[in-house]
Amino acid sequence: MNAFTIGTSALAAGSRGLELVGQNVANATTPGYHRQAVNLVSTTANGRTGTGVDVASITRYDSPPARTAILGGNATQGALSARLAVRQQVEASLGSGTGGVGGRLESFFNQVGQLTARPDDSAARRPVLAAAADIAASLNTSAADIDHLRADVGGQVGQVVTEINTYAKQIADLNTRIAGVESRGDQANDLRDRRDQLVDSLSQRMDVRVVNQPFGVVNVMGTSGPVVVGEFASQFRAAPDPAGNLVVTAAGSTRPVAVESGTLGGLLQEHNQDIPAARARLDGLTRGLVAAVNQVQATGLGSGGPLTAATGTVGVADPTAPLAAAGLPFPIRAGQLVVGVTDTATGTRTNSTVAIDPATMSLQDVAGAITAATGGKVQATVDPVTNALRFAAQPGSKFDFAGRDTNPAAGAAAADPDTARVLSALGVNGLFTGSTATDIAVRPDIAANPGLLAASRTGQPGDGTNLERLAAVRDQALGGGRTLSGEFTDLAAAVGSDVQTLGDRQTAQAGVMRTLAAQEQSVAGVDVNEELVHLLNFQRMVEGAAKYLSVVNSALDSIMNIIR
Amino acid sequence: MNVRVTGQTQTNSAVAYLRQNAAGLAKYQDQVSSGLRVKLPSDDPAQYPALARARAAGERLGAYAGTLAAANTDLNAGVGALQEATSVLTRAKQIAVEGADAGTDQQGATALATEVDGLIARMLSAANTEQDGAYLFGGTATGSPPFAADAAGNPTTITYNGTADRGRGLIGPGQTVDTKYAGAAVFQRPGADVFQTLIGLRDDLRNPGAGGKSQAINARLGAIDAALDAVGDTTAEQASHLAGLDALQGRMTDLKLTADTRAGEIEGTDYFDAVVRMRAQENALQATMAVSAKLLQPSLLDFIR
Repeated sequence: MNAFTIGTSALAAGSRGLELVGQNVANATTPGYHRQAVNLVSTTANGRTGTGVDVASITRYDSPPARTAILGGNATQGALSARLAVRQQVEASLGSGTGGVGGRLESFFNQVGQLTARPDDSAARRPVLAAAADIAASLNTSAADIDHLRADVGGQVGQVVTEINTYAKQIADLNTRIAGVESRGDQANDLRDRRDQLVDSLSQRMDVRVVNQPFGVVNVMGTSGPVVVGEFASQFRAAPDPAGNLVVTAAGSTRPVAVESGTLGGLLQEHNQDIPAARARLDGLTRGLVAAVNQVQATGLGSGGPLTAATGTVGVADPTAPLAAAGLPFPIRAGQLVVGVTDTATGTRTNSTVAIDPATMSLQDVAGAITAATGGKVQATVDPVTNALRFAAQPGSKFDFAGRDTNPAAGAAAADPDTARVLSALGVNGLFTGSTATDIAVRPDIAANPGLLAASRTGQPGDGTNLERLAAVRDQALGGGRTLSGEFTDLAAAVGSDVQTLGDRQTAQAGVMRTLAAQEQSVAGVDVNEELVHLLNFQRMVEGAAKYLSVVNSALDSIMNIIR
Repeated sequence: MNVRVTGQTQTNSAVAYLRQNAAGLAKYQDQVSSGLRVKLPSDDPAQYPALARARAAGERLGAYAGTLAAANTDLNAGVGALQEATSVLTRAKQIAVEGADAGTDQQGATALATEVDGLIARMLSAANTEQDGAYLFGGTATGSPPFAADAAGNPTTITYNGTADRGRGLIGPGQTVDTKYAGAAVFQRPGADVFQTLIGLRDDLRNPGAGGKSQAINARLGAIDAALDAVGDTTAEQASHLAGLDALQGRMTDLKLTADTRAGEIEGTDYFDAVVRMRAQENALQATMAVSAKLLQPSLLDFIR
């Protein structure tokens, strides 16, 4: 008689079912938990007589297609979020409001325009120089902010790589444990849940896909190589290459690991491409500003008139190498430089024209040519320490590059006294020093003595024609066919557009991820109400089995009573 | 169709929509409170370049207003000085007529000559007029008096020390107005030299030549008229520039207003739109809250007794 066996098997199966309902309800809000259910089968003896019920297996509900899509979506989402955060900071660093570079540029040229009304008012020159210093300061600040941001992003890359290494190790460890359990024929459902969670976290940081192996083991593959194979985890490191770009390599290999997306992919793209690109545009803008403004300043005259000495602020690497190969920040063209030499005693002025060809002439050659052309009245030399060009007038002489008519007059003034652009290229008598957003500054002696600001082309106090040329720089199309402030606006708008696009894509991606999560939940998630129905079911089963056993017991009692 | 909707699905979507609607509400709340729709380029990248241009144009036109005002002051002072020169020459003409009159004896003529000395000094002072520390008739040499007499009180020659170029101010993109005129072209035109005419008149009055004073002085009348014409020409030129500046100032003000309005239109909050949208977001948020509260409550537990 197997009525007792049947009853006890029903009690055992029912209580196992109750346990699982409890486990499901307890983990209804646990992230990554997959609901489980008992699979009951009827048992028979000899294939004929029923012997009760048994728990054949426990099903862990999962949805592999949804999971694969979620892993891919995680990587996209991670990259978008990382890039959005960085782009927003670049946008903030550029300072696009009135206090930023664009506003400062406008303000500088407005001040220059206003000074044309009173070029003889030395106090009115201060605001122009202050505005120039503001431009330099705002460019310095923006550049420093962007550089700090890049360093920060580099630090984040290191952190993310460490996290990836930790996750990979943990996944490999879980692989080992799961294989241990499942090779014995048991089910390691809770370990699988934990491992899925780790793979999920990993996929937010880099793009991976999962390949299932026997005994519940998974291999995790990146775009260009394995991350976890069975119980072995790759370990990565990020290090800068000679160009300063961060390259991720796996331990024991020098081959770069391609990371297309995920937080790491997004951060690498920002660090290696997008931030340097924004920085380069800022430097390009600075170079355009410095070259154009310095050229105007160098070919004008300050309120003190011609100069007795001038020193360039840009040095060459080798004063005997041709200028075209000297690596100057501003190129020198083939052309000429007109040096006006004034005799301080008589007031007579002569113009000496020096032909300059950067392809053949070195800085030494240029210095020699200037000294020779002026008959030694202006001694041009190369500074032995800085390798910059130096001008010194002999006693009784002064020099300038304004291209004025000679005295006594002998024709017309030179329209462009420096067609070679040698003055701005070598930083002679410029308004700004430096050539990048980091090192641009107002030349210290002009900041200290505003009279050096070249307002005129004739040296007369009421002449503001050089200021007019300076004010016209703002409307000149520089590199890229844009004006200075146009270029800055375009840069700010491009970054702003990135922020908006990335934000929109992130929102859209979040919607996709919600849908995918809902899909996965519809299979793997715990519905408490459903579990309560199962609970009632198992409750009835246990109650029924108990009642059954009690009835069987009474029946047996009755039979035993016959004997008594 | 998902037939199984779990608690986590409901919670996740409730949280997501609450966040989304709260963020939308915050965005419009910020727009309404700050009055600005575009604070950063990313708020409206397509319109940002137009905004930057409009803002720059507004500030630039504002800066030109400053130079316009300075030019206006200079030209007004110039016209004032030239009017003084005209009245000096007019008086000189009266003196010349009086001196040429046969009824004026030498004593009277000498008295008139002394008055002409005063007129020369007045003319010199008019030609050396300063405005805010800058000489108006020295061309670009604004730092020193343009006209110098060889002797005080009884000068015989007046030298021009200024430049032949005029000083000018930038009043628009590539647009300038001459404000500091070259004095030589005003007071010392060939054939219409104001100072030489006055000096000659004085000398004729004081020391009439062999031909008699009437003849000499009558000859001076023509020169005085030529000098008056020369000064009158410049006065007319400066006055017409002044009128032009007034018109330009009006146009600049209009243009600045247009630019500022354009900037305001782009960056400013459209209150009707923003308030209505804020209201809609608020409703959406409240609805999400109400629905979340309602949906998350019912459970089979309520029915198992």
